[in-house]
Amino acid sequence: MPFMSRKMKNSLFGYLFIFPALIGFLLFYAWPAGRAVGISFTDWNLLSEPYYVGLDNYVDMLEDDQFWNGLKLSAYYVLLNIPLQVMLGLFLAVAMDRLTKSLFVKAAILLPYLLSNVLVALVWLWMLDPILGIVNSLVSFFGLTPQAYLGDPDQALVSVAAINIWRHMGLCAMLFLAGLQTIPKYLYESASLEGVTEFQMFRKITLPLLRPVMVFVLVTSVTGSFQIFDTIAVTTAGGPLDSTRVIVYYIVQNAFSFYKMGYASAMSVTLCMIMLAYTLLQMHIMRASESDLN
Amino acid sequence: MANITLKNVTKRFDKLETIHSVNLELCDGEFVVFVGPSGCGKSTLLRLIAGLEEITEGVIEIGDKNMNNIAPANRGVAMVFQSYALYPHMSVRENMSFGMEMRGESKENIHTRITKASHILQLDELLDRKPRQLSGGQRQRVAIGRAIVREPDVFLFDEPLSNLDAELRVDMRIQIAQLHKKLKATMIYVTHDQVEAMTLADKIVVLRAGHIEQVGSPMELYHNPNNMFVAGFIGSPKMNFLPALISDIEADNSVIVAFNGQKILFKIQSDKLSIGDPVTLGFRPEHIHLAKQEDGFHFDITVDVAEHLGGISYLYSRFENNNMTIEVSGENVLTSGDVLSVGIKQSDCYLFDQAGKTLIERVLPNR
Amino acid sequence: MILIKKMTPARCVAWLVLITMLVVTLFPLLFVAKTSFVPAGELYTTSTQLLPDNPTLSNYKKIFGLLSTEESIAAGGSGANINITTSMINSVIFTGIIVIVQTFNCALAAYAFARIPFYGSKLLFGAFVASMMIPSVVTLIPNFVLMRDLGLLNSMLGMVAPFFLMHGFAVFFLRQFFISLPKDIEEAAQLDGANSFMIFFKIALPLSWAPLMTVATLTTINMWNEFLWPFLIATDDSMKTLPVALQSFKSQTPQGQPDWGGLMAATVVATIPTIIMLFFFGRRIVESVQFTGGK
Repeated sequence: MPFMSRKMKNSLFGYLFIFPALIGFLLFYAWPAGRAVGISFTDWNLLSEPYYVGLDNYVDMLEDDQFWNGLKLSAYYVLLNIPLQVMLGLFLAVAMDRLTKSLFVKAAILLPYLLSNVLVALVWLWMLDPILGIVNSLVSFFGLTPQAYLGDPDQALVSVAAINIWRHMGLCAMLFLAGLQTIPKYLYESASLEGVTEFQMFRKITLPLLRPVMVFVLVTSVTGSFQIFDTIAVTTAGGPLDSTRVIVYYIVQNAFSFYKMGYASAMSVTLCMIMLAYTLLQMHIMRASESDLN
Repeated sequence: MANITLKNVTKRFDKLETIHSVNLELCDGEFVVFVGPSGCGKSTLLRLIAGLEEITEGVIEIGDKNMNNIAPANRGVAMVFQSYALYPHMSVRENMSFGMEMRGESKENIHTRITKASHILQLDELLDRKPRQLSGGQRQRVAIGRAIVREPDVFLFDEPLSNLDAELRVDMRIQIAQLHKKLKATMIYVTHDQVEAMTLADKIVVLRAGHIEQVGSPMELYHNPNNMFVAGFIGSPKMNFLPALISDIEADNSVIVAFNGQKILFKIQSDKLSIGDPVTLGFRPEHIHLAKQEDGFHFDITVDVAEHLGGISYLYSRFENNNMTIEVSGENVLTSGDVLSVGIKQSDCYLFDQAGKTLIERVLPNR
Repeated sequence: MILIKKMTPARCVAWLVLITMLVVTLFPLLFVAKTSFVPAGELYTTSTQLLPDNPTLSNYKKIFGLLSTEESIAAGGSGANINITTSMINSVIFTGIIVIVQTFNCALAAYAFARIPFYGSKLLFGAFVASMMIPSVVTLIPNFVLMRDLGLLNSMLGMVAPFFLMHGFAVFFLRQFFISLPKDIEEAAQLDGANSFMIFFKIALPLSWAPLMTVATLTTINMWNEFLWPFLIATDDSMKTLPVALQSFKSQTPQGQPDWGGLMAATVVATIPTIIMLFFFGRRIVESVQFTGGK
């Protein structure tokens, strides 16, 4: 009798089931992640053989003003982007939760997120064009001075942030709205019987119970926007005067324009560590996994 | 032949042992009920027999064949689940044919068996419906039909009636009993409802905390429970228990039991008792009389709550600090606060030692 | 319904803000649409108008390659080229392959993680989930090198390779769903003689239509919009997906100025599929997006 213990049989089936995904994981996540660390210890321009340089890339990185500038710009961008995006999203969500269930409104609010970064960048490149753009026309109409926006080193990063707030606001709103709808209505009913004002309800009931969604939005949007690339590639290409050369743009530039694979890898590995540390810290601080509901 | 033997069957989940070395012999064609409070391991035992869980130690034999490493599908068992577990996306017909298709039965064979089963269970009209279009009772019948068409040696029922309302439950109980008569297959039925156990079973297996407390026919368990647990579990309302004392020990296994100032001689099976040992006197609500009995104990009780059900009444009462339930047949006007003098025949008394083990073997009434 | 409710001042303000937000969201797109119908010479004069003076289709003809280079420069083009039809088809193929294969693979893996107790399943599942935390820029370089070494640059296989086999979130999400499926239905199938594959295909998969569609919808959104990887792999015009083609169209400025009319026409064309999808599957898309934050 062909005999196979149930555990063996389960393992056989288990690995058959995960086989394609496992190949994908090993080939395109695990191995490249390890290989990135390996490449980071080399000097490699893709054409000649990689040349082992030890920690040189990391030492260079620490002394590279452009690297620090990139990190600084990315962090600055996150600070410009996230608070406003989350606040607007939350506000929109609360307003929609109270006012309307219309699918049209939801779909319209979400539309920018469904368009690619490239498309959104093109839309705003046109809107913000110093001469032909409608934004400057409106600014002039109200008697203010037209600006250069993406063409001005002082305004470029802010403009990119504004573009992404426009794209992600609706996504935030939808996520918060989903969170709001899990809060049972009787909580508000019993609170209103006790004479709690709407604003107090928002602070004492809504916000605390939204915590899991808040953590999710903060973690994903902070790590996501720290890696901002697409919009900058289309609108400013890192300029003007390096004012938008954020860290990921700098990494990609090093890899695919300067062919400094080792150096780019060293920076990307460092970026990965920073993101990991941030995620763990954020989860720890906000006790992400716990929900007070259920 | 589908007799089932369990030898030292033990089940551990990680470190937690839920079934402790169970030994059991079930005969071919028997209707066996596993009964016990929730968490006693009765469903686990059923799933071990089905093969849905793997046993940690011991041997399970069905028809004298070791089943330890046989896949559930090849054990010759069919199971009816508590939730019915019908395939939601398949019609009644597809639900029934799925198993036979998996086994590669011929089209005609499948058709014949479905026709036969649906006739027995009155499912003919429902064959093309989806489970969500059926009532609870209909779903239950489909689940049973799905088991029947498999023509198994052993039917396993896992609390099959617990999702039905009271009326339908009685109905289905009778249908299942009829089905057993018709099919003559071995059936194992898990329930926490002792009424189902009493009415359906040829053999009841009472389980507690992963141990078998007692195996026997319903009447054996009713009249001769091994211990207070079985005594309390079988019979409705529950048996009453009152504290008593051994006041004297005589020769030839007899003791004098003192209760409420009265002393009565009991034949017992233990020689480990000594004078002054506390014992527990048990008697069933239906065995209490509203009058002093010639041969037996009598005492006064106070009625707390009286439930009049028409034909019978239940009096929830107190004797000293002990709660007790009394069944009174016929109409009466007894009410809360009434003090009654009640009596119980010696032959209706149960007696348990300090550990709860029975002390007397009672005579089974002749059929 | 809305009007019946009391219009308190707070509600009025809330409505006002909501409507403002809607305008802010939709106005730029309408403005882009308008620009796409403006003849090249009138861009400046009509820049503040909501409607073009002399609407023209020449921008659209240009991007669909219906005008010769000379004609297109004459019509205000930059001499830049975009083959929007090809890139649209590429985008559909790119997205389609990934959505179908990835969702299927992830469903298989998720089912195993949910239901089959195999050696190492917990560890591997943890690793799959952790893969979500690796920034894409880390794997970008090694993956690019791998594609180059395999000779897959400028090929569809190279473009879909890092995405189509596995995605951490999809595995995680579908596993949650499979765990929530009533287990006894699968046990009944097991007693009926079905093996793990049959249970998966005949029982679990047919019951998972909704979550599979959610995952597929999310993947469609992400892949339709994916830029950096196809940008690195597809250097030849014939292989470019929409976002890549748009970016390269934008960065070619032989005449010194971007071809705004053509760019905006291309933007409109690229937006249309999204709007059509939103029109037909609006509820599914909104709910799918909301699901991502739900867990």
